[in-house]
Amino acid sequence: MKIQGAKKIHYDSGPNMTPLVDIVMVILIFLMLAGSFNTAEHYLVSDVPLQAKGVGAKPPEGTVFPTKFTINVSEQGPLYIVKAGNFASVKDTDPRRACDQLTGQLKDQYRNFKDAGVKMADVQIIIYPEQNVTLDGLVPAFEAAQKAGFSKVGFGLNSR
Amino acid sequence: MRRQRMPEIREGGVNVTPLIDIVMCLIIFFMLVAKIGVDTGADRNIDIPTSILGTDIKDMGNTLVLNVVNGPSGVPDPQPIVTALVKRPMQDMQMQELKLHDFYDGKVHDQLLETLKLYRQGDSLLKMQANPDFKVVIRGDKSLIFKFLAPVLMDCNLAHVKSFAFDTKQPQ
Repeated sequence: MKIQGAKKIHYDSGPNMTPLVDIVMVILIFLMLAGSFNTAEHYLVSDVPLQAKGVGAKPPEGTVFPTKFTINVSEQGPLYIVKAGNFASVKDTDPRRACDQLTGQLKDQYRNFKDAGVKMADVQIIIYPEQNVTLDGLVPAFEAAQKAGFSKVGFGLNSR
Repeated sequence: MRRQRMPEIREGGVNVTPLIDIVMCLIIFFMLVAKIGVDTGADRNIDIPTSILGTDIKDMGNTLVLNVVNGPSGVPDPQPIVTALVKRPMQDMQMQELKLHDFYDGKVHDQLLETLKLYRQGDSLLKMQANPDFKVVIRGDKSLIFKFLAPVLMDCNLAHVKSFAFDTKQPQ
């Protein structure tokens, strides 16, 4: 007696994976579209309180003042002008180029401070921008200070 | 004697097992890495400045993102336009404009300052605790002038916010 069924073609008899693949693909596409990765953004952090000239009371006796110097930023027509303390002054039409020069001079100042035995963690840089300076002009000055090694960078107001 | 032949076995289609393995790995990766449903309130339409330096803020739970753009000029009291995703009494988190000075209910309200104080010092009605580690992220447009940025920084100072950060993008 012949068994007919034995000669028939046998197809794979595992579970049907098609619906699983469909669902998994939909989940994958959803996650790829809905997820936000934000890898191209980062933050310039300042933990120095805002300084305001000409306000406040007389500090109590014995107060230890941190070593600080100022960076004045202004824009006059096409020129971007940065002055750091009494040791650096840079003018350029491009804020980035001006701040690259500033970085070099701030690095020299950093070395001077270190040679003089100043505790660098206490040194503060306060940026005093003019009212018309844009954020795009402020960020390079902030970066220049951080690139030179100064970690405490803050902002100051000339007047409210 | 007649030899019995083994039955012919054919696959029903392509072998999808490696595909599923890879797709499952991708799903697990995206589930772990992608921030789904996490809205910090950052306005993606704002063109933020570029910076080479910069750090990541790991703990975004302690931060409030302020979207700041230039306000109208030529008005008596020019103010920046500040928006943020904030919690209000009896409401869910919602995007809201925070005015520096607003006049309603017969008195002047400093909405931005009040909100920053709320996040920094807490509020029992809203069940918000004082948060000494509270930080502000300023997502300012690159054309934002300091005249409009300064009052925002001043309010951060008045609310005793310990630190603030500028949101910048990496150069292409």
